[in-house]
Amino acid sequence: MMPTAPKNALLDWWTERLARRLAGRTSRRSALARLGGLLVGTGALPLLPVARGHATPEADDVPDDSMIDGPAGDPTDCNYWRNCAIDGFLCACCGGTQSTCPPGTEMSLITWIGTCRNPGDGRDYVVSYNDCCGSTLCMSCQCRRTEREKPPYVLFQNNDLLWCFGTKSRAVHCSVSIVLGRADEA
Amino acid sequence: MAGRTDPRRVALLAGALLWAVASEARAFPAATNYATQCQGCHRASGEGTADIVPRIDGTIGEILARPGGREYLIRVPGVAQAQLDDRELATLLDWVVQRFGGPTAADAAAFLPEEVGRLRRAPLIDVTAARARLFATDVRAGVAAPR
Repeated sequence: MMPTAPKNALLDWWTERLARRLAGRTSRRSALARLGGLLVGTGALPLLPVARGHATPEADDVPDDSMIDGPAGDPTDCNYWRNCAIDGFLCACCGGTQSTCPPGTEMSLITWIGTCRNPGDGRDYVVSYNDCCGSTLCMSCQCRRTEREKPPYVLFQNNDLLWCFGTKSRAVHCSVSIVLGRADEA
Repeated sequence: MAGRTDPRRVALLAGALLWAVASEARAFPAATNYATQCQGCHRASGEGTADIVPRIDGTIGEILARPGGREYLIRVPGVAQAQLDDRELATLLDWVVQRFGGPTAADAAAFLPEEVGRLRRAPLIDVTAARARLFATDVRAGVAAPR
């Protein structure tokens, strides 16, 4: 029978009725099995191929930016060392980082790749400039640097293009600069 | 009084400087040249992107094994116009064949700088047609050319 007052008693009554019904219909063993399935299933979820192939993975040993003074060590600055051939809006200023897209955008599969010298260790690194696609232009931190870049008639070496290929949307939002590895031992 | 500068010494110094600058600008191994010249489109895995960029992984060995396939590989626009000299390009082609060619390409003859230099100067005008011709026998047998 449903109690009339107060509110807490009503909640107690509902909870008790739910628990009793659940206990009457299921065994402890089946409840444990379902709980186990939920735990294992949740653990296995990240293993599923959910658009993981779209990301360009950054190298394991990237140079430490904190060792670099001034703009060359600042991911939100056009003169950040990785940005030596970037043309676009820095994702680090648009809700992402220098190597990750902002939420709600998708990293392009096809990219423009260059090499930049790290002022910290004086070595050259291979840097992939992936566009993050799926939203309107970010309009923050617009940069244009052209180290080793070629005119548009050498299309695959040109960074004026929008590189949102292989993505759901062709709308470019910002660009990341991902270190793929050392240029002298890639 | 200071002696006059020997022009030969100046020339030697300038030559050494030029050589140093040139080797500084381009001294990357084939794997790095793959990254900067090919990987942006063909991707690190060589799988390309369906309907946009052809797959290299698994298909390059097949192409190489066909009559005219070796020439085709040198004359495709991405290879012929790569920003590398003939020697670097020959080394890069060897690297790509070994990496993505599979067992059939393991014994493939090395690309020669002279061969690469001669053929890359005649890049393919119509790549799609050239690719179709390369796989013409398969097309007749009802098998489409790999994309």
